[in-house]
Amino acid sequence: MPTKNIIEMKNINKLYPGIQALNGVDFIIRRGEAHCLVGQNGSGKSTLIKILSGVEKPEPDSKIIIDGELCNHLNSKISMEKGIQVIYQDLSLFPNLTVAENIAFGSNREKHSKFVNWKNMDKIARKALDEIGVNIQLHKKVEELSIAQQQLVEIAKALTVELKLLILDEPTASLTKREVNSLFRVISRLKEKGISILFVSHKLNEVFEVAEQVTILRDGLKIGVYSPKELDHDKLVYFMTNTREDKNHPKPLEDDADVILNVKNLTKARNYKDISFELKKGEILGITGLLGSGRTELALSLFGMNPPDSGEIIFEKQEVKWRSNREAISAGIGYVPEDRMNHGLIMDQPIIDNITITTLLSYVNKAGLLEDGKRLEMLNEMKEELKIRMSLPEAAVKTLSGGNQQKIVLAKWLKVNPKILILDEPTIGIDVIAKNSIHTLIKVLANLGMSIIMISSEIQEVQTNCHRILIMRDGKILCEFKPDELTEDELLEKYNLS
Amino acid sequence: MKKHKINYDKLKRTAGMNLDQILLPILLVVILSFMSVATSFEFLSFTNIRSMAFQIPELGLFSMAMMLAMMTGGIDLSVISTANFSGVIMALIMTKAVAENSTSGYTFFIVVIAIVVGLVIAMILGLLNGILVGYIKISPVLATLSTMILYEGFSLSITKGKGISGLPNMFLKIGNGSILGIPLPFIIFAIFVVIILIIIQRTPVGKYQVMIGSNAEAVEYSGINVKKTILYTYMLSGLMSGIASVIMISRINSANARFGTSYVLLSVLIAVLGGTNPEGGYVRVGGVILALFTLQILNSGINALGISQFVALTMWGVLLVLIIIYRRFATNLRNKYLRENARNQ
Repeated sequence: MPTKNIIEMKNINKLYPGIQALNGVDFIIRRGEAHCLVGQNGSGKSTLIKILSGVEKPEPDSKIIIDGELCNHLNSKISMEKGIQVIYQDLSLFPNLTVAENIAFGSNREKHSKFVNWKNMDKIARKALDEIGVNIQLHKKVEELSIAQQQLVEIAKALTVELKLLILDEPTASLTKREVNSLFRVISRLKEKGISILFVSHKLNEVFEVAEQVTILRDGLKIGVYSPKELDHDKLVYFMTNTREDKNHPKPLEDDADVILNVKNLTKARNYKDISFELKKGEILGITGLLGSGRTELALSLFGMNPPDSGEIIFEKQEVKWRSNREAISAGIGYVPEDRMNHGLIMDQPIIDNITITTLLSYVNKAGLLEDGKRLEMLNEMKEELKIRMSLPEAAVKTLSGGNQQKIVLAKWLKVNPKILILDEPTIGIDVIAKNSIHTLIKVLANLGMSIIMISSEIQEVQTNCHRILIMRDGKILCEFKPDELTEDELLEKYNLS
Repeated sequence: MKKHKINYDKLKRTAGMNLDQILLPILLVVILSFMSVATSFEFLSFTNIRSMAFQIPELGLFSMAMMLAMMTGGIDLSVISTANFSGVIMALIMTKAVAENSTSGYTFFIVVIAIVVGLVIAMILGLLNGILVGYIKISPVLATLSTMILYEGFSLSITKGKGISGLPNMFLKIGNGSILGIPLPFIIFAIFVVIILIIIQRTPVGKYQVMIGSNAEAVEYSGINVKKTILYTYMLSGLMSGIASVIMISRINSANARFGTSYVLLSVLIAVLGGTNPEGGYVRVGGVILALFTLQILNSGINALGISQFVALTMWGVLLVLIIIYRRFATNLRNKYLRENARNQ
């Protein structure tokens, strides 16, 4: 008799050097249900999936029961034989082979046949695609398909062997609304066949619509199992991060705050035109607008890297004509670039060298040599202050998560103690908790008297975190407004920004 | 200065994962043992070791010069031409100014002047490379290939293709003398290795150089003068060539426009073998030294065994390819480990 639960994991522990990745997690998936596993990066969800698919071994006191059978020594082969298949976000298809070849590849290998039976291959592939009710040309090369179609091919491939549990890692991340719907039709067909589905995700998204249960992990602990109906965005963020999204507006500016920067009719051909605005001490000025609106070019001009053709930049009551960013930096400007990977950080180099690059000369002793002890002290201080999660100081900065990488960029500029900090898309591609802490940090800095220019395409971001907002389009400032004057929707509508 | 407690657990983990670092020492020991046994330990004789110690410094300094340029993502193909030009000038000064009957005080003065002028010229040639690469932004291969020919042309137009020999005895001591049995060239080499090591690991400029090799744009965004740093790098590379030149012309008592041309690719080979990333951003001085010793031992051993130089060349090639493949896997493994480690923090 088939059991009610396809997967029962009990007291799963997993230790990595110095880290408890999973701490006594119990995890149950029922037969034929769609289940969601959510958590931030580092919550242990990937480790759990790796254990389930036999890639990683749990600690000895853990118990895994698959389809009513205790599996003490799970490896990836046994896991597959038990009917567990994982589809990762970066699909594992052969792009230069056809759909049929990709689908039937596994079953062909299974039989240890040395030769390819083309007819049989088509038959297997056709059958698998029919099973999920999808029509894709068998002889098309996989690289010619859309991501959504490739995903379906991979699901079909999983069906060529006995399938009991299909694990999908962030399945809707790069799909359009329509493609998501067709994926969901496939999912419900699979459920009808008694196949269980496990979605793995780090945020609230469409998959909640079709899931029966949601398991939330945080820091290797199971927070609970919920029905999707019980959860909304704010609640989920709270469960995953143990913090609420920072929706505090910055403290209002004092009326007599000094103007620190005054930009007058700044123009640069093919970049921006006739830009005028002022920035006060302790003010957070938001600049929003679509990509290509000239906002980054403007920021670079204020940072001395893109000299304007005409117009004035008046910084601390004096007109400045910076010829390089070195001059701008020594005057007191910091710039966190939009492109973290290419401009913000040197991805292959150690964390310690990245975080101290802007201030390296200040760690030099009388003999002209660097004091590594002092550099480490600085790193540890910033690590505490910005809550940076990292391993060794010598590790390449690319080994960090996006949020922690961005904190390194912020740290290297904060150490310069700028009077104006320009942030270009400061929270692009990073998780909620890091985003939150960056928003909080920005407001603290402004409160301490630093002026901030925050460029973002996310209207909500500038609305909650800025004192004043400029909207740019085609190199010009369209208008200026206060966050409470307009709602996001009104803005989008009025200026056609979406 | 505050002492930092050694974290043995951390040390073990890093070393354990650093498969790359243990390769060269093991290789060196294996080749050394093999050669020793194959030559029934004649290979380890004092004479042989001493002769190797005289041969290593020149190639070693050229490899350092190459490594410095590679560290910033460049290359310096003009190292030998630079050395030869500076050597020709030094030899010219010394042979013209010092006569058989000159006093030792005067000779010493001229030798010092010649060396200073030679080193300054080497640095100026480096500066020119730096301007081409850093400021005019010509690709390093193209720039230094051109200056390689240009500098050789300078030397040839002075020497007309002939060697300049008959250098003062005092000067010849640099390349042939020893202190406490240690060859002087080797001591000079060791001093400059330490200096380079300090520059790379303990000075801001060294850090900038390595980081420019990884991503010059991000370094520029951080407010560092990338052009100037590149200029400085090629000047330092030129200086290393100049010092190699001092040793070279004094060892063979002659300067020539076309000495040691085979050293160019050999120094590239040693720098890469030693762990320098040819695309820049990663350098290990210790690794380059190990690679240098390994190749020298392999070479001397092959000579001692009477194996043909053609076979030797093949063996070097095989070694290089294998090491590069090995390194590829080792680096991937290490990055994977570090990424997981960070994720699980």
